[in-house]
Amino acid sequence: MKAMPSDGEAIAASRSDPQRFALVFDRHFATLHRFLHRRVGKDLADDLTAETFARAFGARDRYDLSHDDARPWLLGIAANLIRRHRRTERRRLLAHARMGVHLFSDSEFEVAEGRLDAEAAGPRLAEALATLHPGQREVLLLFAWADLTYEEIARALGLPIGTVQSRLSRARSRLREQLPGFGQEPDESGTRQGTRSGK
Amino acid sequence: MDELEFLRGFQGDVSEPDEATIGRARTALMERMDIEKSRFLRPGARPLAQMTLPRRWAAPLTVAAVLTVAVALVVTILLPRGGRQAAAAELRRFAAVAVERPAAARLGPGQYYYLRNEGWIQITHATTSDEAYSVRIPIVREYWIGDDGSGRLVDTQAGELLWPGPLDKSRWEAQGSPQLYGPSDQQYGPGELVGPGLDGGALGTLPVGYDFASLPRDPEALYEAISSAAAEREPRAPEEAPQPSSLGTFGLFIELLYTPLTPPDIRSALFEAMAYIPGVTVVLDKTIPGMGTGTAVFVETVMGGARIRLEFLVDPTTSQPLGQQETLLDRAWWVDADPPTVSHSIVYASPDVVESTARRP
Repeated sequence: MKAMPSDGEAIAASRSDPQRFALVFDRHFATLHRFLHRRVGKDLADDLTAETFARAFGARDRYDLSHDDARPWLLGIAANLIRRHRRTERRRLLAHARMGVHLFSDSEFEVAEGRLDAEAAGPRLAEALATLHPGQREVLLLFAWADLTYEEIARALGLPIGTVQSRLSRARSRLREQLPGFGQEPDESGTRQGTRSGK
Repeated sequence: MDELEFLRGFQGDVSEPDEATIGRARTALMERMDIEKSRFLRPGARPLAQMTLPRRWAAPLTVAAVLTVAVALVVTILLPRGGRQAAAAELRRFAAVAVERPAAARLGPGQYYYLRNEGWIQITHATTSDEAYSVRIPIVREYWIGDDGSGRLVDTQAGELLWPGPLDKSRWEAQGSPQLYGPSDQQYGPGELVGPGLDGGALGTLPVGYDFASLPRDPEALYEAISSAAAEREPRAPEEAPQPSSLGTFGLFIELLYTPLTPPDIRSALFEAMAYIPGVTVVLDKTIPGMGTGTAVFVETVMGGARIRLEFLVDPTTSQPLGQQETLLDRAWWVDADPPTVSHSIVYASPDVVESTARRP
């Protein structure tokens, strides 16, 4: 049975047979949309995801075919588009910080103790993200939300790996400063420290 | 829980994109694919036994001198002045000529068919959802095709890039003047140039290796078979049923009429079957610079709000295909040129037989 073409193979084929690019769309649309939805809300995510694929299709001749997985490339294009909407993203985060809107995934917090912490600290996290340097926020969210590796983030954003590592390190330090108690192991009683009071 | 685990759950309860959202994005992307597909057509073969005919044939070409004036058009008689029946009559006449045309010479051991097309293609790149640029590239394409499905395919850029309008060039420059076309030279081992093996690969394949015996000889049945195969190749969402298009169907007819491997009886039936394509029109004594004078068969379609005409020029005395040309009849957002403007023009050279993939006639 013939294996499905990799993204690189599909993009190579699409250079002479444009409809081959549909495979890349089908494979990654939902991932891109979820990432953008988390960052800028559904309505803008609808537009930006479509725009990401339109731009990717137009730029497919410049895709490095040595990479089988196009996800970092697509996320890099999406990141460029988000730059035009940084204020929207920041407003959304600050609104969360002010209002304490519950925006967590239930599945992420199976332990009641942890869930309480997370719910209470959500607004602080939103505020911390909103005040991060945009370059650090980009790296952090590609790492945490898109599950890209250092190398993939470097490829997505066109940065040296060292820069990715330093930005990620600074971003995480900043979060820990804003969210005391996170990053610490439970004490002997099994409870966590800090952030119970919420905002 | 560390700060990363916490962050991973933050705002993580977003919904999956709904079908309407995916559908809108897919449709927008496919419109761009269609636009490019219509102006950069390459073959891609599958055995007819699978009822999936090869991708629309069209390796573009024409001489540089033609590039700027390829608009052509000296029309002496327009059929159907007498309607569809007149077009059908002319196609039947072609069918009678075609059946008398000898089949291609059989290859001896180690020999290859050599095909050479030249002309120019237009490629289009979307830079945003509502902006694009187009460029025309002079090109030569050569094929060597062996009986065992091996061969060679070479693309060569044959001249400077040609910009339909100043806006096209300025948009390309604004994108950093990316390379738009790269020459290629690919060798194919036995079986690699034919059949479904290359399907999905970077290069299309030639319409060789078909199971011509499986094709119906009755013109109407042949039209239905080709139309169905063309529909399978139209871009669509996975859940959508195949929908034939007159342009796609016409493209498949051109592929099969172009290849020297198509047997005379099929070639004859193909001409008759073309009369069933909706809107097919025949123009007598049409001259296209660089291509010659012949009988033109064309269909028109609307793409992205603009009418597009695909023409196939045939020598009326031998039924030998001379070339093909695509013309944009309305102003379109993806190219900075006033209509009518030719978006690709291809001249077919007569096929030859050579002793190896390193030889040219």
